[in-house]
Amino acid sequence: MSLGARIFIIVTGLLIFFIIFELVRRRRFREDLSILWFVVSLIIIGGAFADTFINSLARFLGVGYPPIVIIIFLILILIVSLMYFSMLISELKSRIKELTQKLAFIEYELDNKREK
Amino acid sequence: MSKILIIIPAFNEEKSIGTVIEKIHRTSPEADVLVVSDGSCDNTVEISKGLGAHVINHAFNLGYGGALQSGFRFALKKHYDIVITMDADGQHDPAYIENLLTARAQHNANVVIGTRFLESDYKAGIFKRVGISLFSAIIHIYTGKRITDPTSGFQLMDSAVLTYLSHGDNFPLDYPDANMIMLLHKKKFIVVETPVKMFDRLDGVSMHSGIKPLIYMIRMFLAIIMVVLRRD
Repeated sequence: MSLGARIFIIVTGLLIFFIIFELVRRRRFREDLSILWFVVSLIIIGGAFADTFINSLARFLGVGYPPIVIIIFLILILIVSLMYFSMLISELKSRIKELTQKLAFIEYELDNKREK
Repeated sequence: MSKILIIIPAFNEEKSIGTVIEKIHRTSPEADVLVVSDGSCDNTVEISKGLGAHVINHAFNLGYGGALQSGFRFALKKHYDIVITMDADGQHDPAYIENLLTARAQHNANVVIGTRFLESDYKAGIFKRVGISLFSAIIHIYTGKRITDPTSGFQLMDSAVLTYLSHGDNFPLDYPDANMIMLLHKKKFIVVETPVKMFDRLDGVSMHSGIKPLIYMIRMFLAIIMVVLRRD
């Protein structure tokens, strides 16, 4: 890998790391959700040195064109991230349902009391 | 005497809800009516209140199952013994509420499903018939019972069932049909069915129109598999 490519990957990883860090500091990104993205940015930074092990890993996996291994790895990270967010959305949907039902019932009771 | 609540989930049903409530008042004056407006933005709430129904109004649309579950929780909090669910579109004939109550007493059942296929001449489309037959067959294999109309929204439930279905995510949010019947059988509740009459919709579009039947089938299969596999 050329030095330019290595620097580009490291800078991209660092940029993502500091953007997330800044968003957490400004309370626009929850700390628990940020962990996943910190890990992603560290993996990207690690990707700058992928050439040291990618050829042997590709040989081990039987992949003829080594850069494909990096792409597969990145796609896997994205899939895991999306699964995590789908799980979070499911949980939030359940909570919203509970709140909506409770709010509607409280409104009903309040209206009844007002009418009395 | 049992305290009866009739639950009607409604989403923008201002054209039919009035007729449905008036019919119920005529045929079953002893029963209370609860309309669960599931994020309606028309006059469903005002019309229902004007006709003396209890009204719960969701801030936004939760789906058919979410609206029904709100009704179940209301029924438990207000100590109703029996709940009867009916659609707001005028498909269900309130004159048959009596049939549901009789079937419950006869079979000592926890759940009575009103079926349109045992006696009446209800005409369903070919795809709907195939879907219903398929899910009936699955229910038969799992429970050993013949349920001819698993998609019927005209049902009776007692307080034991309500207590179970009101808890957390026990009640499916979108389509509580064959999966719910299998779930209740698994939980040792007695489920029977009795003939009722159903009409075509008074107005509006069915929630099972367009591409939705296909999505419905896929989701129902998944829900059925989960009912069979889950241990809780």
